[in-house]
Amino acid sequence: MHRSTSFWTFFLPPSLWLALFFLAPLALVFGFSFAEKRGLIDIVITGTLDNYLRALDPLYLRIFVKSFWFAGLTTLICLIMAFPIALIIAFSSAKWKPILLLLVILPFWTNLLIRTYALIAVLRTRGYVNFSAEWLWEKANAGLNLLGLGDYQLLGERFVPFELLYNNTAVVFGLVYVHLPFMVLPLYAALDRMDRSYIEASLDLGAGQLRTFFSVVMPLALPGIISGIIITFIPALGSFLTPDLLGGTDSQMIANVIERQFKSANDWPFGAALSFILMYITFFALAVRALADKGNRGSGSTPA
Amino acid sequence: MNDRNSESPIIEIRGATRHFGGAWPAVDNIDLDIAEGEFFALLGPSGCGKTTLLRMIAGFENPNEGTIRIDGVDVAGLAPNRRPVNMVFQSYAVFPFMSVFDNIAYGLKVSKVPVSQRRKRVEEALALVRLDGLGQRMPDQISGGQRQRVALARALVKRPRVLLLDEPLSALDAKLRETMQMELVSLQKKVGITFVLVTHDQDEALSMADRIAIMDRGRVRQIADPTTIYESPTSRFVAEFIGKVNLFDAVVKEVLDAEDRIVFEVEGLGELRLPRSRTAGSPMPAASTALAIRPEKIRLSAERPADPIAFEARLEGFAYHGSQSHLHLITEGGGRLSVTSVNSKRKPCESERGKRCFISWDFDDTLILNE
Amino acid sequence: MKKLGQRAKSPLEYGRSAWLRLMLLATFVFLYAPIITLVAYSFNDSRRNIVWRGFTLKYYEKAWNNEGLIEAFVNSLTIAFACTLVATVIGTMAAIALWRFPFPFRRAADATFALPIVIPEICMGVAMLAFFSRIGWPTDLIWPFNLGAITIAHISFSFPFVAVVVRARLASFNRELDEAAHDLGASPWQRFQDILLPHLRPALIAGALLAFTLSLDDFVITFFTSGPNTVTFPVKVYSMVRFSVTPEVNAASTLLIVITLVLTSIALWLQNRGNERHPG
Repeated sequence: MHRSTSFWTFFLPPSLWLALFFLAPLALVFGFSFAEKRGLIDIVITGTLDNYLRALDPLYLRIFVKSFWFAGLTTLICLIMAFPIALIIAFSSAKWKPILLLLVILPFWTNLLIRTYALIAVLRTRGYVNFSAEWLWEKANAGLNLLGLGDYQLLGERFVPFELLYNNTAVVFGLVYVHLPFMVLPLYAALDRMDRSYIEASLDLGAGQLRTFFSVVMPLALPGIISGIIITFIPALGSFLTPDLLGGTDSQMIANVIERQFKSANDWPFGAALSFILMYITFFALAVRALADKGNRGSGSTPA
Repeated sequence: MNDRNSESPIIEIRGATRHFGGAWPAVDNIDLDIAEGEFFALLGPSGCGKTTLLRMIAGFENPNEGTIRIDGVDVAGLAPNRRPVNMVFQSYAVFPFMSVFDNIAYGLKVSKVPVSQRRKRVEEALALVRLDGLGQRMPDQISGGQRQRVALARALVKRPRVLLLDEPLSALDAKLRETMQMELVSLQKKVGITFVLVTHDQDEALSMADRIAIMDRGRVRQIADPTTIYESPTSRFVAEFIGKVNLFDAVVKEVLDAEDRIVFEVEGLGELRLPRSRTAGSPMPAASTALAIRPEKIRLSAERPADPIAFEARLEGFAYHGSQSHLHLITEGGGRLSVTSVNSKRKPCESERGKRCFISWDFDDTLILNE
Repeated sequence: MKKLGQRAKSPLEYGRSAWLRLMLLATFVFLYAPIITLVAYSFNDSRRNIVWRGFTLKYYEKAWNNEGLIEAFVNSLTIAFACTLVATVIGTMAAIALWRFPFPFRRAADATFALPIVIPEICMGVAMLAFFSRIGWPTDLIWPFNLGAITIAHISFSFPFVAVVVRARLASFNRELDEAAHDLGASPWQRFQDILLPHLRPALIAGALLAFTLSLDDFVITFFTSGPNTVTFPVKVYSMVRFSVTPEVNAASTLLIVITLVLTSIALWLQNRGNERHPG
């Protein structure tokens, strides 16, 4: 076997597969994003930019803004929640580290749909949260009755369940629930790589823990933070299932609009344009991450 | 060994050059003959091209220019498995998922040696490297030294004409290394085939090899037996690379035919006269050259000695190393020397800094380095 | 075990700070409480699914007797097996080609093979939908050939993951092993079979299990490629979930969680074991 023969033996099958069953479909959608719809199933690629311009329509612009807002808020909450976790794991003993890491990753392996479904079961009107709340309400009322205050109806005439589902809060809650591990892992990796003597030097030179955290740990963990932000933000922005199952009519995100264009509204060119806008955003974010990686390499955490 | 020249060499390298696109060729126009049955060492600092040269003999690299003949056959373009050589790799490359036996048998299996013969030859090889009875062990169940022997047995079982060893001892700890050095030498004498050893460790090369080629920047600087390499280096590079040396720039001041002496003006020392015979081995020293003297060849004395080469010096400092001391001296001319003195007894001038004393050495120990 | 006296907390032992511990605990409750309640209540002998009325397996029985659910499950397993087979082979090929051979545009090739991992699922889903309907992929084939489109889509997104796992393993391959085999006379095919494949074995198994779970778990991309007769387990669960929360769905979900966890644990264990042994 010659060297180049064996190269093609290995390279050709996966490349052909990728080209045929991945790049070709993407190219098709890319083409559709510049197409016009003529008739029910007739789509002609004309090079028009109308589909992209339509995305600027206030109706859709609002959905874009909302998606960014949801994804951004999710990322922020994840960052705040993940940092202490990552810090504890990175600085825990060799015995605890793999266990804690596993506990963070485990939900990751559980089906996304099932995790979302689990949230529905917990949050719905007849779910466990409201059930517990009702139980507390009854106990509290009984207590008030005992105190002779039962007649004043201080806690309302009857228990009103919290509306925990089918609204924007539920969507962000669900997004955080699903994406938290995405944030913990890169932060952990950055903190774990960090040379501890920087922190010790800061403490030794008289800075407190909080000051050390903000002026030493955060800057050193910056590549990890940027990485975490981007790999949380991208999938959050493209979420379909969470807003679909947990959101109300007003909680639609880009992916839900795309799905509608392809499945019910049957406006493929517009759906294609929207999905490629999502792709462009993804590529932009990945480019930012690559740049941040490049800028931080060497100047950072570990000496050799 | 004396009839070495009468036979044609087992390895014959002519003008071998290999470029990798660096500042200089990894191997630069090398000529080299290695005789049948010789233990030959390629010694040099890392990046000097010794490993590339070895890999060219093995067939993992091919020269851009020049020829390599093994046993009289030009091996250009010949794959490693078609050359009568086998290699012991730096990491040993013992296949981790095969037992010791299967490792050693692998080369016989792929070249379709019948099973019955295979078994016998593997057992012989195991006995040769003193691993009898360990055939069924897995590589992660034996020590580093034993893994190295597996690598040796695996290569030797193929009965190569030449065994190539790429830094075979560098992964072992210092103590084990010493015993393995002796074992390798006796193994080579026993099997009687040519060993070519690549190493960056001068002790290893000096103690094991019949002949050494010192390499630097892709070139061979000197090929000689260990004693010659140490006692008569021909260049500054070799003198400095092997052992410690005191080096001084010098110019030839005049040649005194009547007294058969050459007078050097040596920087830091002053005038130094050497017999002309001292330079007989090498061409007439260039107008500017270098003189060198090994630290252990210098004698110290409190009074001016009668030796023809003697200078007054002052003790600047010393480092005590138990069996010996390293002394740092400054001559009146400002030349700095280090002297190794064996601590068989205490010498008065060695314990006081600033103390004056005399240094002297023999004509024969003065090295004249032209390059 | 002898207990040592309480040592004062040293500055970098963040795990011993009460505040941080509390936050860690709260996060784990947040992550696990929903899943654990879901699993627990799949055994609850109550339709209302709130008050604990004792242990039962009747919802598992019900799920077992739900023909649609079982059919979807069989579909999912079939797709996952086919996907695993192809994805492992071509993923490994991709990893080896990108690792071993220097060729122009290698970085670009690297990035292209990573694309299916990084682009949003929804984009890949609609691309598959558009592609299969445009090329006129037949939708009326008999089982299991009607699952072809979904299987192809699954292979496309899972083989790059296999490639990543195999590539990581290749990084620890000592090329001297290959050279030693070459030196001893092995042919390229013998070297591949005797030296490289045994080294890769843990990664191949881990990659295969990963492809299997990815395929079994996928909802979004399958949602766009499945038709009325080609429903997978997650798609079926989705349609059930849209209507109501029932213990049956809990039971089915629990099964899927268990399958995924078991397979992933095996993969992880194999990968760790592979990395610990054979260091050189």
